[in-house]
Amino acid sequence: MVSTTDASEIGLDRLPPEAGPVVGKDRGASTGFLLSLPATLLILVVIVFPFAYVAGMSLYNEATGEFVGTANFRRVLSSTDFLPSVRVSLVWTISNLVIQTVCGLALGLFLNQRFRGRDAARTLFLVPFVVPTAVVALMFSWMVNSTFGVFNHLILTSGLSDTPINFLGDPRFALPTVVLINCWRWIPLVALIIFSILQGIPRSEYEAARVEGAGHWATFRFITFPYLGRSMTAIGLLGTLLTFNIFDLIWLLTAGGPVNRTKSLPVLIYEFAFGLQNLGAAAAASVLMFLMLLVFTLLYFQRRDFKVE
Amino acid sequence: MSSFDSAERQPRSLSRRAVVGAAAGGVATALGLRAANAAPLSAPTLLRQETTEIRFWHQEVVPKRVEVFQKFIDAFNAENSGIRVVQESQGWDTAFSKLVSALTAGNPPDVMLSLPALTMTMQSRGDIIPVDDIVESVNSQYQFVESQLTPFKYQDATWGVPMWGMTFLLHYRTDLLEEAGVENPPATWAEWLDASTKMTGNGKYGIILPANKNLFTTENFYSVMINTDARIYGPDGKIAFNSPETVEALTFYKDMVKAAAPPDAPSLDWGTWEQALLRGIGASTNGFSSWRQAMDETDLKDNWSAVAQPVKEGGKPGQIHYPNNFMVFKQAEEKIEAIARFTEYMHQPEVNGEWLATMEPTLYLPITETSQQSDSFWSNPVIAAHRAMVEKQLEVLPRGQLYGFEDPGAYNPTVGEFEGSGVLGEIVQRMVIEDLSPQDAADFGQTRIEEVLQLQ
Repeated sequence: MVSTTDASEIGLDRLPPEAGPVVGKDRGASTGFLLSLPATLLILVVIVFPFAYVAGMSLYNEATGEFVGTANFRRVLSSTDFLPSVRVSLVWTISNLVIQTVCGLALGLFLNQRFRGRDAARTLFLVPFVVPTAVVALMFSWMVNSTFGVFNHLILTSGLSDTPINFLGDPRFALPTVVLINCWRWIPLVALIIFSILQGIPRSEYEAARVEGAGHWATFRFITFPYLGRSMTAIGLLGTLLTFNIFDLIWLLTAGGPVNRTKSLPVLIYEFAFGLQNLGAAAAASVLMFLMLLVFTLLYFQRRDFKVE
Repeated sequence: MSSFDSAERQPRSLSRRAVVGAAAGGVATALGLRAANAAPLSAPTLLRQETTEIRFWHQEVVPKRVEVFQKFIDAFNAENSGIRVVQESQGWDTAFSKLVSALTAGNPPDVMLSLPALTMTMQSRGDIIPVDDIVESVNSQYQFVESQLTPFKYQDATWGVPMWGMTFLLHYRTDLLEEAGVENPPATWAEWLDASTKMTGNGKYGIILPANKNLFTTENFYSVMINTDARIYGPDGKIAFNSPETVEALTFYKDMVKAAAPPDAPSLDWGTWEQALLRGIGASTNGFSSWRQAMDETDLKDNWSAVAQPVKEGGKPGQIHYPNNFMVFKQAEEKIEAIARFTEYMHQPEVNGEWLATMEPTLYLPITETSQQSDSFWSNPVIAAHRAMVEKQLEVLPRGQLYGFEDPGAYNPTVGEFEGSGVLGEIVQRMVIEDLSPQDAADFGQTRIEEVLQLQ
């Protein structure tokens, strides 16, 4: 905090009375502007400009360079694939977030306990996250393969089923399978984040609760959960946006199939762009997806947790 | 409000204005540039130079193939002091988007390796020029296989110079066929279904046949469509998918998948397909032949043979094929003589034979009669080891056919979208997964193709 004492210590009190505050404000303003300039320019170059370019593309027939107004948007919205893709994206995002939060919380609480090998466990937990997506996809596509995959071998030899299960080719199993594979990848990271939040909770609060005779559930509900809640609000927003935008794993595992049961919006956009070679429609679908996420983000920011107290 | 609050807010509001202003400026600039880019750009001024540089794009990303390209480009450059060919490898996945970007920027390649569908897409956009003179020159010296030229002749010109061909054969396990009590490899559809069914069992599948929404399935199913003379496009250019011929092809394909394909047929891709063959799970496959090189590393290498794709009784012999071609962009019109020399060089029989044999033996086939006789092709060790199979490929090559190009002179500029959409695979996948009747699948397919291609 600035105080008159601080100002006199650095000689500001010797400036003319009318000049002091103005010079200080100008200098602060211009310094702040200059300091934020590189980041602002970077954002303009790598986010604003490309997005504006894509927004422009959505108004053109990219094959002919002809201005077509909202034709690309009408094409996307009238496509029989659009609404099912929105539905798949919602199911994909919500199921991922629920499973990852529940399992990540359980593992984070587990890691927060004192036990032998905890440090080693924490390190091992990061392994799924550092494996490249392409490797994860290849590894699981072979493991769940119905002809020579290890999962089906176990299912058949254990008698759980008489016939192999086509995890990625059967419409009933494809989306759940891809969700679970994605969760396998992300749950350890969620667990480590939760663990780091738990480590930041003052021990004194737990000790006070114990002195007051609080049980495990009361301790979790009144101490652990409020701390987690505040952090998880921000993480939830990031997680939602990241999960909604995931394309690589879905594409590599199922390419949106079977019969479009895993065709999320990013996959649909890819198909428009590189399958149908219609960059204008792909750009329009991207803009629509951006607007959906923007509305979600704005609504999310209305939460009390984001209000400055 | 304290003075501190006021002082703190001042830079914040300034910063926000600056950011918003800069962002708005950025958006306006970007939209302005986008609009400017939409207008055709004038051709860049070519620098006067003694050496003509040819920018050559291709989609071969495998390091060995790029090296082979470079070897022959270097040899050409050494022989032609006034010309310098420079290769740029793009990869098929991103070739179209990169090409559109390059065209928008007014900086496309001079010549590009392509396929019939992409060539027609570029022709319909007005981005490429006819290459009749080059084709006539090569043809008069080395004689193209006619089926390789057909997909490039439309609208009173030839738009691509065929460089190599690829085609399907039926590959089968000789030991499993014998165990199944089948004396001869199948020649008809009935024999094919019967043999595949008999070879299925004990953890083996009679045929590794895909029913997935991908190009792999498109190729397999279209290859069957050829035998019933079923069509995607009619002679009038309209979608003619829903026909008795298509229903017949769908019926056969569905029967084959149900009787002899592995349960993961609806999710099969090239990777899992090859694994199934290499692991000895598959008894046969209808497809290209380059995977046989990987099979040579296994104990099963001597257990495979290949025949022409079986034909429906009384049907039309044939199978899918892909002629790969050079296409020349408008901006390179002034360099056409240099491009012609490069093209003709790559067609010189001994150059052509060695080039294709070393780049991807058993996949890329010479498509001129003289190159097919070249010593440099047949002396390659891999070709020599699979001589009977390669001879069979060359034997069936003249019967090759491709969707959208069935009729000489056919002009279907949406064929690139059709190929890229994977819609044929989608139809097959839906039929298999949802157990649609072939007629229902044909009905659905007609509507779906029209929707995807925006022809409704």
